[in-house]
Amino acid sequence: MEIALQLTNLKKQYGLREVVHGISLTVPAGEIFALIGPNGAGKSTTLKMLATLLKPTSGEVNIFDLSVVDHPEKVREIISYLPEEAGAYKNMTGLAYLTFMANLYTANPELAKQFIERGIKLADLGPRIKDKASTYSKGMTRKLLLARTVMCAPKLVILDEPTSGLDIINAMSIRTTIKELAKAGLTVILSSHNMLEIEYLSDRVGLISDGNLHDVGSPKHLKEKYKAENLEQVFMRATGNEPIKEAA
Amino acid sequence: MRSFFILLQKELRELFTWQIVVPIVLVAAIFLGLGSVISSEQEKAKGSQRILVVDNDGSAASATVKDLLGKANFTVITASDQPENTLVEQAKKENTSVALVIPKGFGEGVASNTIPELTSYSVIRSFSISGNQSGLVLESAMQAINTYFSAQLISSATSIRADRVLQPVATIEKVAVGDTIATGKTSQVLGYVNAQTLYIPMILFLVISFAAQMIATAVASEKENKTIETLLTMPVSRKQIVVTKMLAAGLVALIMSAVYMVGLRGYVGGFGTMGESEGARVLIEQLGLNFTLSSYTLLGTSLFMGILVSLALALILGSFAEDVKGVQGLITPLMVLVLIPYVLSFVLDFSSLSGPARALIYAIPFTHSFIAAPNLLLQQTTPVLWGILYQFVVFIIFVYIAAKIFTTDRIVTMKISFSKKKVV
Ligand SMILES: Nc1ncnc2c1ncn2[C@@H]1O[C@H](COP(=O)(O)OP(=O)(O)OP(=O)(O)O)[C@@H](O)[C@H]1O
Ligand SMILES: [Mg+2]
Repeated sequence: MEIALQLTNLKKQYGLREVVHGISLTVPAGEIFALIGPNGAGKSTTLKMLATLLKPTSGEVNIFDLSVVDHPEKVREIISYLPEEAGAYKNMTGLAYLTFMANLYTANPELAKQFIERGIKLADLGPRIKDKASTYSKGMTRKLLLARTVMCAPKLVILDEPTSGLDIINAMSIRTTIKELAKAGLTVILSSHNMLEIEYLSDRVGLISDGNLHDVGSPKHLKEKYKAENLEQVFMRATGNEPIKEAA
Repeated sequence: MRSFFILLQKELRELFTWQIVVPIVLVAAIFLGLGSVISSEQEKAKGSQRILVVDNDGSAASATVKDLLGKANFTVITASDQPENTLVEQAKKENTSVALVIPKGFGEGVASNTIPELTSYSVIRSFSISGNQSGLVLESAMQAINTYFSAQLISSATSIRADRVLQPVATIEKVAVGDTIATGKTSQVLGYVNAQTLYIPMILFLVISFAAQMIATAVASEKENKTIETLLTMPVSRKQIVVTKMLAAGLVALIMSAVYMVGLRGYVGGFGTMGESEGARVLIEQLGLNFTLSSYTLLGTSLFMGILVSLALALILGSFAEDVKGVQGLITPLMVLVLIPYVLSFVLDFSSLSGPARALIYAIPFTHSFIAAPNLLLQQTTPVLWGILYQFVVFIIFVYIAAKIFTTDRIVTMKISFSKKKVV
């Protein structure tokens, strides 16, 4: 089994404050792995280290056997990252944005064309794809950015709260897309606050709070372990909050 | 290299918005318009220099006066004898601003032992130099008339050479520039050189500040629009990102300076012809005070280095900005560094400053761009070369720092807003 992602005692400090306290984790290729945890737990910080945006204070991150510290430029060729908060260039149309990004990914015009076509389909903006990005709603922008992230078919996709700001229908179609990508062999690591989404999507879940990885397992395994009916209860119990009254 | 052009194209597209292009074109058009207005005003003042003359004498002497006026480039229009207010009225109607009355008995007066009077009128409609050109020329024409008649008087009454009486000591004024010495006046040199180079510091100041503003805004808007994190995870080198950003802003700044150069030259060139006499032109040529191709090249290099330093510094300052609004405040230190040599170069000769003051002013990399033009005119090439070298070193240091910021956490963490943290 090929290993897509290997974290070894990963730590991150902002100034003097350590916010990620030594996370170790292995994610095999083709898996959809989800990070869940309260606000400020360190999910985005961890994902940014994977995306080569932040340097780990100590520990290691290897993506398909490439160290993000030693070979960030090589890592960037095989990953694709969707930030928690992101925008598109205001003066570009959605189409121009996809074209710009596709051309940065590949020098092959044929391939770029394929990427762009896939991006247009995934963004699903209809004729609005030819409008300036500054005229898009929050959800439309999010769809464009998500399309950009996955259209280039890298080996590892890093998604920080991919469906935040999307309505149910659009969120659903994004989830289907992510599942299909994983079936085609892509590895996906994502964070989310939507437990339904996590349960539907992920092969395995990592529970983070206060910069520590408390538990890792499949949704089914975690539910059994915490004697919970759903992931929301797992989340509450694992983070030490009172269990809410069980739903009938 | 391919991704380089893709990035550059994007940077240019983000910069060339109508908010930037319209003001450039507008300002250039205004300067050009002003320039052509000024030069056409001057042409008008020169071409239609007419004078109303009331000749109540009709003598040989009064004919000489009109002749001398003609030599001073006036077209004489004969007017009839009339009270002075109607004479002025007529002058206004004829669209001239000067008139002269030669009284009856003028010729006899000149020949006898009296002092006859000529009365001149000058209509002041504005306080500009070009608007009052005729009046000013008339003043010197009146002096010339006097000199003429005194010369005549002297030679008819005595045996002394008239020119000796008028100017008993001949003064030969010479100016030296470098090794070249030529006959002429300091004021002529200053007037000519200032008219030719006045626009250089203006453009330099405009372009350096625009370039700084542009690149700092480019970084800040990437942060404000939250595009920077995505860009930084793309498979392109951070150096390319930094360099294309600077190059795009530099190109726009260069285009802008070219446009301004044309506009300002038109504007300043309008003044240029004013102090420019044939004598001054010859003098300047003798002194070698003209830009040669190599000095133009050095001047251009020095200006461009100034722009580069400004870009690199602004990129560093801009990366601290959280949003576009913050840019103005952040690049203030840079603006001060540009303003100091800009303002001081008009009033001070930096090379004659005391040691510490001179070191301080030369430490500002922009100083060298501002003093390049005068130094090159004076054939002082060595300080210009050192200046360029110094600017280059400073530029490399700044680029290194900027690239460092872009390759570390800093570019991402410097913007993160902590107020966003929510309670579970
Ligand atoms: N640039 C920064 N400088 C200092 N501290 C930071 C910075 N960014 C994040 N932090 C801190 O690091 C901790 C983890 O933040 P992070 O954004 O990783 O949390 P998260 O799990 O993604 O939370 P959320 O669910 O709200 O997105 C928080 O305490 C946060 O305040
Ligand atoms: Mg987060």
